Amino acid sequence: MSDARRDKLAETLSAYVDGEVDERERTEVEALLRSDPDARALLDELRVLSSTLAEDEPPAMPPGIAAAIRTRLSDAPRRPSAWWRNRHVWTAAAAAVVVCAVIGVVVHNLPPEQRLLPEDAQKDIQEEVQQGAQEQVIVAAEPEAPPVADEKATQAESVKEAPGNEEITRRAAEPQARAPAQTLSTADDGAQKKAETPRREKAQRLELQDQATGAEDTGETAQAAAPPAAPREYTETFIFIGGTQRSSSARGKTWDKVIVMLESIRPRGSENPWTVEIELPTALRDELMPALVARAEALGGGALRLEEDGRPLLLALPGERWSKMERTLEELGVTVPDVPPPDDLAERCALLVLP
Amino acid sequence: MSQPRPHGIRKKIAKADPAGREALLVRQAGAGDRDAFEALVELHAPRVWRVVWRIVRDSADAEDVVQEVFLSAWRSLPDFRGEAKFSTWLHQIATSRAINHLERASEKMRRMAVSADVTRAGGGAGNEGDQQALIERFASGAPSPFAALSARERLARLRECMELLPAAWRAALALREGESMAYEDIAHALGIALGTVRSRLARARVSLRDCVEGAA
Repeated sequence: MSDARRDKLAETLSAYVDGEVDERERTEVEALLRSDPDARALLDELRVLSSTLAEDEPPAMPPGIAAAIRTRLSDAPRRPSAWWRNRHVWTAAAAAVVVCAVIGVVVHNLPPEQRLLPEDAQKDIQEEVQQGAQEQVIVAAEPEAPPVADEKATQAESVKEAPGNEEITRRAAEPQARAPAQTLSTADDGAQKKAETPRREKAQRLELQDQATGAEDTGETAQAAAPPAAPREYTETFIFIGGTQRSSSARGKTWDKVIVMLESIRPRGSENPWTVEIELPTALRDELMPALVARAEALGGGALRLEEDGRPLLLALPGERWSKMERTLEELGVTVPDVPPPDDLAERCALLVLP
Repeated sequence: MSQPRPHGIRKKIAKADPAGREALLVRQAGAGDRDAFEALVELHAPRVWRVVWRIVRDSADAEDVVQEVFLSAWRSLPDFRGEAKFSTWLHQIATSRAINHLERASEKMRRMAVSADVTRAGGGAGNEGDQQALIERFASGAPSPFAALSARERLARLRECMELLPAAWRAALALREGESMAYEDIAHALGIALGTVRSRLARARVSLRDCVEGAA
């Protein structure tokens, strides 16, 4: 018998003893065993060996091992997770590509005057607007002009957003009968507003940005700036940048809601403190976390804090646990106050708005 | 110092079935929860101990290696992607650590001295080259005293011979004979091909059989 054949036979019989052969091999082995006494002898010995090995039991585990591990764990720092192995990073990257593609398509399909364009392109539009305004001056003298004037006002409104365009905008808008003064505010007016109510101003800007894509006429766009900013939802951020499937169930939650939850945290007992977990966007976790942790601490609450490389980590959750938390709060009779988000956090949260 | 686990999670872990419980514990431990990790240690330490001991075959060494295994698992848990079972992943660490332990120079020296004695007695099996001679002896058709030994004597000799097997072969045997793991799981735990598992197990067994016979 050749070496290779002996090795092969030993391998096949060893796998046969372990039940790790396929149907074809099993048939072959069984045929061989019927005709080859050496193969039968080897098989018997392998079986005896297996049963002997099964008797080779290790001694009982020393009782102190778990305690020793516990002790050593407290001194064991965790190395940071390799970012390229983190599936969430790739999920977030893929989501970012999709979001950018969608935004690209949306922007591409917008009328040119509603796009947020580079400086050169804006200059082109300014020229176009100037030219349009000059034409409009002529057209405005005629009785059938108003619909065209509205269209130019839309152009003027969007150009207003670019710094230094106010004068051009004003000149373009002057001939229009419907253009109210507050809509076509100057840079000075904007600065004054900002000084008075910075948060509102920011919210208005965000509202304007969003609604500019959907508003059909200038009147709607202009009026959207006037009412106080409604709590914004950062659905996209939760879904995509958050990076986990569970986070999708946070759809529709607002940062205001997050803050309300934090406001509601009260220690329930020293051994069983209240904890709340918030799914933070991966990319912005470091930036937002200190504010949230500080907020939770300031409230004397029991926000869960873990350590990761010496940094506090406020853990994530929402999903079914979010609604569970709400139910539990209700059961405990905890009133969820209608608290506006803190100024600082609202500012930070604005970072979450996708372009 | 361990951190408190979230109230909801603790209840959820308590209610879950064993597999779900483990998955929750792994997730919590991955996020930094030491209590959850300690629960995993309680669950898996006995099995890790058995695997490690079967490879290093010394209680003091096994104790050190088991601790290293869990410390290493704690550090690496954030990178655990859940593609394999947690126990398989742990076995991967355990076998790798145990093999490394055996391969350390001092360990090698000590074992080489023992190996030389046994080889002179006719049963040396310290490396893969020696296995061929043993296999040839088996193939010569000489009557085998293996089956004729009493069970007690066979076990005693087998324990001596196990120490002479290469660490990688021992690891394969530990997972198969000790833990009844499927070849596929062994391949995953040792990071080798399925065919290699098959050949390692076969060669380890034949070598052991011949070693026991040779020492008789």
